[in-house]
Amino acid sequence: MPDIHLSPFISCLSWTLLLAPLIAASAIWLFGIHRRRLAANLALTGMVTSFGCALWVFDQALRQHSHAFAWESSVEWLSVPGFTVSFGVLLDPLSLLMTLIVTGVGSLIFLYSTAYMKADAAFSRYFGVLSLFAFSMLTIVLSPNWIQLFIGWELVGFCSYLLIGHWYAKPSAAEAGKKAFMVNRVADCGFLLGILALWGISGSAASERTLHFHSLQARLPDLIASGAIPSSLLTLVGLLLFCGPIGKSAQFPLHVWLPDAMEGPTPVSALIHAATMVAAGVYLLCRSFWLFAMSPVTLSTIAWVGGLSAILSALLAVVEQDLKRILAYSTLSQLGYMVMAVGLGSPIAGMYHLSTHAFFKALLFLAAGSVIHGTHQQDIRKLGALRRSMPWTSGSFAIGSLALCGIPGLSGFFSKDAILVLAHERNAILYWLAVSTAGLTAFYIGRAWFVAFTGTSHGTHAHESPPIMTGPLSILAVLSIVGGYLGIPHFLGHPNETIHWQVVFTSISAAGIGLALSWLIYGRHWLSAQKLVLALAVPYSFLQRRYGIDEFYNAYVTHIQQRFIAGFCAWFERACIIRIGVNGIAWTTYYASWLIRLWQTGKVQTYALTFLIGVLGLIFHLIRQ
Amino acid sequence: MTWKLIGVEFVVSVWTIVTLGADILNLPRRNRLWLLALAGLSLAAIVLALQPPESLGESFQDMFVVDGFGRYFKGLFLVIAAVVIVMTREFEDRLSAPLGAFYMLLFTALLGMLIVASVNDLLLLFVGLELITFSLYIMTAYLKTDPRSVEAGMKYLIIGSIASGFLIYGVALLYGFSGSTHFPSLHKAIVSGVIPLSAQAGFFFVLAGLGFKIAAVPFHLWVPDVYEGAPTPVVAFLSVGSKMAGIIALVRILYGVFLPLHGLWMDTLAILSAATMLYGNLAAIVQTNIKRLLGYSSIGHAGYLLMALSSGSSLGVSAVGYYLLAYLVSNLTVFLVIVAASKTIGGDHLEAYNGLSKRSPALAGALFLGLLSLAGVPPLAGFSGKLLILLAGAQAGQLWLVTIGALNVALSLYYYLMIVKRMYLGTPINPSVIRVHPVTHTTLILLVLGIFVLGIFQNPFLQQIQSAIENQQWTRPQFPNAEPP
Repeated sequence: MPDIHLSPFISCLSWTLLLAPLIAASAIWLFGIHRRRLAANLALTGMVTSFGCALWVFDQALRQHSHAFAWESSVEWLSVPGFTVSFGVLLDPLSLLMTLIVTGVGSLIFLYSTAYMKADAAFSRYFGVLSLFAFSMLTIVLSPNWIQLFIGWELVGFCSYLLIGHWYAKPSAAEAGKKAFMVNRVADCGFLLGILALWGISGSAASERTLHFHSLQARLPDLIASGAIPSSLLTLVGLLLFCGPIGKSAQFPLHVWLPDAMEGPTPVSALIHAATMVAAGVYLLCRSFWLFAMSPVTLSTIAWVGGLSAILSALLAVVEQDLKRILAYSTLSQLGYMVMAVGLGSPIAGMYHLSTHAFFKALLFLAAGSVIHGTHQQDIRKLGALRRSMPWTSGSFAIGSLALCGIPGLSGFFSKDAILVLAHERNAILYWLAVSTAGLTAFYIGRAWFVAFTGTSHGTHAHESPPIMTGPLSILAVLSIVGGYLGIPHFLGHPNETIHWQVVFTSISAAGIGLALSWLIYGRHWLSAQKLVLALAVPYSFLQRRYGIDEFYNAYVTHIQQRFIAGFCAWFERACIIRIGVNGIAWTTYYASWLIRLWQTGKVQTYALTFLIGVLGLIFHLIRQ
Repeated sequence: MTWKLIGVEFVVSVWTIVTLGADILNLPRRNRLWLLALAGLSLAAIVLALQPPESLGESFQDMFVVDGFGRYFKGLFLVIAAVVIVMTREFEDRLSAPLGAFYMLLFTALLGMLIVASVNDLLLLFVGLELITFSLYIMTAYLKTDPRSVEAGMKYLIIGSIASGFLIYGVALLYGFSGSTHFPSLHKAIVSGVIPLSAQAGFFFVLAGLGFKIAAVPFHLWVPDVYEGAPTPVVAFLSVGSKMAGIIALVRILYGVFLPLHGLWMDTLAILSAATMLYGNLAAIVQTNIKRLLGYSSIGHAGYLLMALSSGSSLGVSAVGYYLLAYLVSNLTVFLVIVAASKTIGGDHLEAYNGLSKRSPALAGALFLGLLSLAGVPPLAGFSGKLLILLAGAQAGQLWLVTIGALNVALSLYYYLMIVKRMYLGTPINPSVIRVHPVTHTTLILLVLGIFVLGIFQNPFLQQIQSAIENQQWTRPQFPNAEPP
């Protein structure tokens, strides 16, 4: 049984940790919307306070003898008979790790943003939303129940919408925000149904229904063992709940919003669309792993969705020309790894990769942001030879890329290796898919590196970014290197593992082959990229069309949904509701009013007669009784 | 002992003479007369407040009873009279005839209302009601040079006489049945024996007579004409005070005397309620004169009050008490704005209210809140009142009636909002600024405050009303419907 005692001091710390960004956001919206410096300072203070508290709690946690602590502090928020919703903080190794990532990486990105967004007119709005996002994300991470988690889940979606559409005057940004929001809505529909279904099955004769994580975990296995809940229902609940991560972590087939989300400012892409929010889906899977694990069907669905997402997105990254979009597809692919790890039965491996990925992907994005800041260009074909003009940025990008490839010694190697070992043990097909993905990963990131950072300059006047941007880059670069030695799996309660040499060798070879190929094609030009494209025209155009998924969605929406469903609704609205319902009632009322008016003749005789008829009516009523 | 009981009535009846005499002697000046009238009301209010609880009891051979229920409404009547006096102050230069006599009539009508609040006997009820209506006949026709005012007074007199005729005929039939006009004896007679058809008819005649007072369909046709023609302060007095007196009489008779016969009147009242609500709110839609419109609106409100009365439960009576209080503050707000605005904007035509918000934001704001409260929009007073009434109806199982009541909220919202639309979106014909006298202003602020307070804090008032009902001196009623949970 985990220790649920929470000292007042830690309770106070954890509430500060949760609320500091919210207070900052409120203060910015109330007082700072026209004061740029104040807004930035408030946002930074809120975030750093939060990080400080997280570190402090972490320090307290390390003093515990056991790693199976679970501290909870909550207040009753809404209570009706039979149903109570509490709002609070739950601190266990899982949420603490995630909190550290969110607040730590968040602090660095906030700092970076102050320079990156300097010229932006809506500087204060940006920080207001960013702070609100931080609060929403912490609401998810620290939530002790499904309701609070869902509230945070929707809030981060909303903040993501606002931030993708930060430059809303640009049609593509506005469209991208809308797309992200709507795709997530589709997924959340299933997610909400899952939560409701979970609530529905959580009741028992002895206790009322609940959505509290610990109560559920304590109760559901017994209910299932006693046969009160059929296993098919449990599978259904699991699959519905998995809809949430499919949308938020952008897994196939709902991945379409994430590449478009790159329309937002680059620090946002780094924080929300790489390091934290999109990882919330994986976090959720880990948080309730025991629930998914009770149904083998759910678990294997999760594993396959993850594995397919990983390889399909990696293929898309190979043909992409936009630097940020390459990184976005890479994020999709890495999220696929994490989801697959959970599906294969190891949430710890998933969380491990989530942590290291947060470091090196945030690093890659921030480096890309630095490139965009310095050159105002994000098409890799128009970039080149940045290595000389932007040394810090290029160095960071190189470290991030190597970590992403899984080069031994860097953080990505350890976490990816843990997943590959897992796949090797559990599922051969998924293992080879994962290995191929590793090779593709090395190839596309190598391509980005060789095209944009080496070779010849295309006349862009690049300049290195200010220290306030390169500072966070350096810190993240260090984290990307040492991330594998921090003992993250150990903190999550995983025993130390021996190295599986066969898997290590395979993964290193895959990465090596990928890197070598990219070097041959884009570094040395031994193979012409144009000729390759011509030779592989059919698969290339298929990839360029992104498997036709966007086209399929568009066709479905315009030809089926708009024409039939929306068309019928519009007709029903106009003909039935407005003409018959609204206007019909209005006309009936008006004519009734007009008719009644005729009664009012103004002649006192009529009035007296009516009075008399009224009395006679009463008497008639009396006699009839 | 007796003197203590009728202290309030005594002060008011003395003041009828004081105001008249002061006007004749021209002491104080004509434009200070309202202060004298208010002083009388304050004195009455002090006497009412000082009436010690142990002085509750009956007098004049049990014809007159002082109980919590009566005292609650007496307090409300004094408030109404005070606001009407403030209105009269605004209106006085348009009243051609002697002002002292107008105040005297106001005090006699008030005296009638105070008597009705304490009535324990059919004959005294008749006297009280006649005191009210006689004063109001004259007040309605007070604008002697305005043909509409005279016509209104005449119509009111004729229909009122018919109503009084039925009322006294009903009283006679009931006396013939029980040998007494005294409420407790009447109650005893009803409980003990078979009730002949003649007595039942008498009961319905009394209902018809009271239906005239509260403007229930089909005894209502006088309302629009009288509201349009009468001086506006009189309309306010009529729509709030006179209606309240009729409702109190109905409560006293239905719940104090005829409760054992609830099978006889509950359905009847429910049907009357539905007809009254629908008629009032439908007919208001096409009106073009604000006072006429408010006349129909007041018919609609009578329908709601009848719904509460038809529920036959103590919740229904509480709802009546609360609704009347809410109606009082809301309707008086509306009429005070009309009185204050009509002089400058010229007339009571709805078009005159175009763009009022630009000419006087304060008046437009108060009218807006008053109208919304009348419609029953939360968090204003009218909402709580309507909610309680609909709850009482639902508790009594009259869901069809509750549905009609809810639909009527939508209807009433339409015509109230039409006025709001004119005020805020219309362009004023004459953009001159409207000046509001500080006294009127203060009164408006107090009334609007009341609208909010009653809408947000129901419980203190509701408890007051409930304890007033429990402390009444009628035969302790056996409500046919369940007590509220």
